[in-house]
This record gives sequence, C-alpha cells and structure tokens, in this order.
Amino acid sequence: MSTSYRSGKRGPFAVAMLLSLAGIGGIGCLDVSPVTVDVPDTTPIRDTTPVTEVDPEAGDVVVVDARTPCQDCLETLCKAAIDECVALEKCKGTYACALANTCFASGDFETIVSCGIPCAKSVGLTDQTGPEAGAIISVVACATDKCKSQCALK
Amino acid sequence: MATIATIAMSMVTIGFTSSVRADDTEDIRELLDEPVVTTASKSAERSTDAPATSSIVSADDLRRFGIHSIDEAIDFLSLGAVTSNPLKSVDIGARGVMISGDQGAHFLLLVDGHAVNEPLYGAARFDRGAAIPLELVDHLEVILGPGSVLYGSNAMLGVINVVTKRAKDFGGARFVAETEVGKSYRLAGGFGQRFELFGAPAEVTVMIEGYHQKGPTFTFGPQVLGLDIANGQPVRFSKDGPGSGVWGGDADQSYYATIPSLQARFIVGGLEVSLHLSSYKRATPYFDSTTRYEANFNEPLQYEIDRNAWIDVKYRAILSPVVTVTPRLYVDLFDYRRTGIDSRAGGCLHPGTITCDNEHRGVSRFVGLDLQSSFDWLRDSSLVSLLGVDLRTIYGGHKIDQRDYDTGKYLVSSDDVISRHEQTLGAYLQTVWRPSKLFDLNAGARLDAGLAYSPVASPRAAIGLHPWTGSTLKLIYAEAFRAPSIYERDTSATTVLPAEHLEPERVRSIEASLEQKVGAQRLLFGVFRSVWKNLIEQHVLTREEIQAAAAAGKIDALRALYFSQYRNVSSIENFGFDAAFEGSLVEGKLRFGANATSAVAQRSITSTGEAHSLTVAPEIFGNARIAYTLPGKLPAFGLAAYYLGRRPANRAWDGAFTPTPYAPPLVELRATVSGDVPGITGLMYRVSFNWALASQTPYVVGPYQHADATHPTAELAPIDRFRATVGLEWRVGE
Repeated sequence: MSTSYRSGKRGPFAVAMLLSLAGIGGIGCLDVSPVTVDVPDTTPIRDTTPVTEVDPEAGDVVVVDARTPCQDCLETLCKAAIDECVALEKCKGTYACALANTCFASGDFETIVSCGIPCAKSVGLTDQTGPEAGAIISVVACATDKCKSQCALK
Repeated sequence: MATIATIAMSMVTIGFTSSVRADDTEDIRELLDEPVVTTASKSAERSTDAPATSSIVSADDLRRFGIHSIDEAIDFLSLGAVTSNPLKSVDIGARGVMISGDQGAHFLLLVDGHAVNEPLYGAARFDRGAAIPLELVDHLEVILGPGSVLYGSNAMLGVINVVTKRAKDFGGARFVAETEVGKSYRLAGGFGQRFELFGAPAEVTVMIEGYHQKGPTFTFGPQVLGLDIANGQPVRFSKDGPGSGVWGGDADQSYYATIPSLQARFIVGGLEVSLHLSSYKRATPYFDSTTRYEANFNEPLQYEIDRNAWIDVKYRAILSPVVTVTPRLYVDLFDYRRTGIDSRAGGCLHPGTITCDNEHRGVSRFVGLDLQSSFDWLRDSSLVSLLGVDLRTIYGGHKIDQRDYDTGKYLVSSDDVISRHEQTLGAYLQTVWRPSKLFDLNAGARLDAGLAYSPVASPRAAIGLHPWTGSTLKLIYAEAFRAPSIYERDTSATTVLPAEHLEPERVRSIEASLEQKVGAQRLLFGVFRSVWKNLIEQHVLTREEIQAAAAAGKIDALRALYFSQYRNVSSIENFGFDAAFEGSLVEGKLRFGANATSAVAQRSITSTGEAHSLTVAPEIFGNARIAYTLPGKLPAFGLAAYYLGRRPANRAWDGAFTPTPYAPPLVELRATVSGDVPGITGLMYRVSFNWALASQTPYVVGPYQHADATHPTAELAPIDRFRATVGLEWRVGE
C-alpha cells in the first residue's frame, strides 16, 4: 500500500457549490416509486459469479458477506470441476441450488447427492448418464476429496 | 444553588466561549472555566451537576487546535468518544463500543437541540458530512452514556449536541477560505445581526459553506481474481477495455466529497427558528463489506449522496414564575442515493449489457411536535420538573434499481421496495432536585411507542454528591434504546427475508465518577459498565432455515447463494474506565488537557454463545492537548494528539485471514498556529499540520473479504497520513 498526493482538477468551485445548494430544494422528494419492467425478469442465478460475489441487492446498510470457507475451498481447489459444470446450463442450475441449500455444508458424498437431487430435478437435469450429471458429480467428488475440513464433510 | 443556576444560565446567555472576557479575580476565572452543559437535562447546568459524564469543546478549542469537523473534535479533544475513518462516513463509538457500518445510528446527533438521526437507517454523519460550518459553532457537548430518557431512540452510546453561536458572538459578516493543500477547498460566508422586530429583541445568524475534496490518490492491491466463471474471461473492474482479472492500482478518480450547506437561526422574543440545508456527496476509493461488491475500481461515477433539510420552530413562553412551556415543531427531510457501477460478467448477467448501474434510493420525511413544560416548583431552581410529549409522523421509502449503464434502460423491476408511513409517540418526565450544596438528584423516564415495536421505557437516575470543596461524586444508572430502523424492519429483496418481530436494541448502564476541581484544574476518574441486548444484525440463514423458509413459500431457493434476514442477533458486555485532566495556567493563556479511556467490549451471538471482542473498536484510546496564546495580537499555538490502540479489523473474526488482521496503534499529531494577520483589521489566519504515525485502518478492502489459498492475508484500508491546512477568516463589522 502506498500513498501519493497528487491534487485533482480545481474546477469552478464556488459556482458549483452555489448551484449544488440551489439544487437541493427537492430534498426528501427523491423518487422511490418502484419501476416495473415488463420483460421477463432476467436476474441471473448468482452461483455463476466469481469468487468475490455477494448479492448486490441485499441492502446497503449492514451487509454480511455470506461466503464460507467451504465455498472458498470449492471455488479454489475445485475450480476446474466447477468451471466445467457452469459451462453446462443444467449443471450450473443444480450447483446454484445445491449451494443455496447448503448441500455442501455437511454430511458425505451420498448426503450431498441426496440433497442435490431435488435441485437437479428442478432445473430439468434428469439424465443421470449425461455430461451435466457427470459434471455435477465431479464437483461433489472434488468437494468430498479436497474440501472435507472446510465443508465439515465426513 | 439558585445562584449557581442563575450564573450557569447567565454564562450560557452571555456565551461560554472566547467572547467571555475574564476579570482579574481568580474566582471569576474559575467560574468562567466551569463547563456548562445544556444537553444532559435539557437545561443549563454545570457539568458537575449534569446526570452524565460530559466534555465540552469550545469554539476557541476548535480554532486553537485546527479542528475541521465533529469527528476531529471528538478524537482530539473529547472524553470517552472516538471515531474511526474508513475513508467515507466515519464510524463513531464510545467507551469501547463501536458498531462498524451503523451509519452513526447508535449515537444521537443534535444541532441546537434538534435530533438529526433520520428514521430510515438511523443515520447521522459525524464527519464533514454533518455539514455544520465550524465557524458558526459555539461549542460541542459530548454526553456519554445512554440518553434516551429525554431524547428517545438512537441515544445508546451518547448524545452530541452542536450548539451554534448567537448573533452577539457572530456579529457582522464573515468570510472563510481554507484549503488542505492539494486535497480540499472550503469557502464559507455568513453574518449575524441583532435588531428589534415589533418591539422585541431579534437576531439572525446564517452561514453558507461549500467544501470539496479530491484525493489523495491511494494505491490498492493488486488482488488477483483471474477468470470470471460467468464467461471465462478475466474479471472486469472497469467500464472500458478488456478485463484484467486484477483489482487494484492507483485510485486517483474515486476518492472525493462535495458538501454544500446552509445553517441559519432566527430568534425574536421567545420564538426561535433553526434551518439546515445540506448535501453530502462522497466516493470511497475501495469497496468492502459495507459498500458491497457491485463496484468497479477507480470509478468516479460510483458515489453516495445524502441530502438533508430540516427546520425547527420553538417558542418559549413563561406562563408564571413556576411554569414555562416550550412547544416545538420540526420537519425533517432526508434522502440517500448510491450508485454501483459493475462491469463484471458475474455481476451483470444480462444479455447485451456490459455494465450495470445498481442504484439504491432511500427517502425519509418526518414531522414532529414536542410539547415540553418545565415546572420550577420552589421558584429557585432547586426543584424542577420537565414534562414532555413528542409525537412524530414518519414516512420512509426505499428501492433498488438495476439499469444498463450505457443505455439507461431498466433491466429488472425495482427490488427491495419500501414504502412505510407510521407514527411514534414519546412521553418523558424528569425531576431535578438540588436541596443543598452537598447533594443533587436527577431522576426521570421516557416511554416510547411505535406500532412496529413494543413500547420501550428508558429510565435514568443520577445522584451527585459534593462532600468537600471542588469535589463531585456521581452515581448514574441509565437505559436507552434504538428502535429498529424502517429499513431493518421492512427490507425485503430477492435474497433478504422481511424481518419478523424485531425488538428495539437496549442498553443498560451504570457508572460512577469522582471529579475534583482545584483552582482552574479539573481531574476526573470514572468507571462504567453497560450491557447491550437485542442488537440488530443481518443474519445469514442456515441450511435448515433456508429449507424451512422455502417450504413456507417465503423464498425462492434457486435465486441466490444465500439468504439473510434482520434479526435481534447479539449482545455486548462492556466495562472500563475514563480519566480526564484539564486546566489552565498563566491567566488562561496556557491551556492543557488529556483524556483516556480503557474498556473491554465483548460481543456474543445470542443463539450460539460465540463471543469476540468488537471489531474496529479500540479498547484503549485518548488524547492530549496543550495551547499557548501569546499576548496582544500575537499568535496562539496549539498542539494536540490522539491515540487509538490496536484494534481488530472488521473481518477479523469472519474472514479466516492469517494472521488475524489488526489495525496497528494510531497516533495522530496536529500542530496549529492561529492569529490575526497584521495590518488588516479582522483578518485572521490558521495554519495546521497533521501527521498520522500509522498507515492502516481496521477495514479490509477489495474483493478478498475472506481468505483463500491465494490470498491468505487481508489488505487494510490506508490512512491519509499527512495534511497541511491553511485558512483565512475575515470578520467585517464585528
């Protein structure tokens, strides 16, 4: 960390201030009426965001970052498996759902899979022999292999 | 005792600060040196009689020690209170308790008795964002400990009252130009005038100020993020060009603030009207757990802005030698806007959109009527009761919108929409009994009720003993509360469940102190203990809680990684001691003082019992100062310093960093020279140099808010270590 002390532009300070003061007449009248967008809501599933992601819509006053050591481990040591998974739409959805339901937070391989099955069904992943199922199984296998302690797995 | 009260009132009337000209006698000097507070009991009284530990920062102190804002006054000059600067709105705490990111919601800020904390977030700014021109400030009263007994919500850590000057101390016109060299500029102008209106004495004081700061440039990172798993490309932290996968570099466009403000007061007879207008736009050069991750790096269009307007009208009518009534009507308007410019594919997953503009908006408006009556039962100020009823009607609104930055098109419907109308009622009663010079008693209670939370009683009882000359022994018990903010109660977003049954936060405190005056010297030592309950925090739902909420149809578990909900989560155990020494020599030309606080504050999660010391809050802190005023028109020299002990960073306990991040102890020194410019009547100068001996604050910055294999250590926000300030003030027609 270093600090330097370059000064910025020196704009028409006094004029800007006066204009700013004149412009604050509408204080408290900021429009907070909700906007409705008619197109289908395309808010993405947040599991596809990078290591840094926290949902930006959760508020702006006191914010808790929900990232867990388990998730950090998964996205670090199992990054290759996850990358392969999120490239496949149904695997991505299953993974997101499994994370949301903290399927990776305890148990063992079988309990993770059991927890994730409703997720897989909910995104239409029903072909257990297809590449999507293989990809999500790879993620689970990696988790139970490399993230046991971080995810409190047996 | 009545004499003392009369003198105290007179001192307030004639002005407590520099305009007071000391007589030759040491007794009068001592009397004039006696701090007088009006905040603790809503009446003028010696600080030794007040039912709280307090410190006063006079206008002379503000000038002598080169103070530019309330937070600087607190850190350099006050007892027991402390701030922490994350390069945005400061955190404020007292006696070891500081709740980082609370927007000042646990400390009540008053300006001439008008409560500034607004109801949507509970927010009040204690830095330059308070937007009170300091040349207009007569003194600051820093009252420690629970203060809800008279003021209601938010006064948990204490109350700070900014008292502005009357026209007799602010006569004529004033112009101020000041710069923190290379970083900020401040221009201000104001005037004060006394006159007669309809045969009654009248006066007006007004000051307009503009402040703009840009820089310094800080260098962050690099924090390597690599590929964005949403698209397989390097993560983007800029609107322009390809992503680099790296956060950091020179933040030379993203640290600035602009604050225009107006503060005015008009008095005629018993009628007093105060007016405030301000806007506080600021940009923080990094992002963290409170500014969220929706942030590009070094993005100048990413900022927060508060706008604040209030008017306070009160009329003091003396109905008889016993009864005085003071009805007060106040109207407050506040709004808040924050933009988050996000160019990460993972943060802005809309086909055809490169950059998202996430905008948070909040609005609060309230109108209040405070009917206060004072009863001087024995007509000599020895037994006085205060009875009041405070009724408010409030509106709070909020929403979050996401737009395509390039086209301005809304991408989704508004989220986290709040629109709430409500009323609150507070009723309070306080009696002060001063039967003799040896003993005084202050007891009172306030009951606050709102439809959204259970009624809260806030009692206070204080006994003051004066067993020997110059001594004061105080014993104080007090409770206070903070009502859940409208945002905490009503927020409901894709990933946030609406709160259920939020109870007000509560604090109970007991303290004892001994103060001894010897001539113009004052020594104080006190001990305190407080217990905090029902602290409201954003709780992250466990797996079982998510499943239960999904089964109940409250959430869509496919929409997010996690869900949260505001709940009464934790409690705090706090104890420690305060010590203060201050005085003057050489007929008041040499002034000095020192304050120290040591405290332990342990926060426990109610459901799990997990306990840690509070992050960001120093357990040891204090300040010292000395000033000498040369005779005649020669300058005054002031040297002040404050110390903050080593303190855990805001991610100390949940970031899994190795080693656990702590901010190093901080000593900040300030040397100031002030005086009259020779040859030009009314023109004064002030030059100060500020040097911080540490380089880091207790705030983890950047994308890595948790450790991982590649980033096991935390990066802490920097400190602006050296500042030189030069200012001129011209008083015309004083």
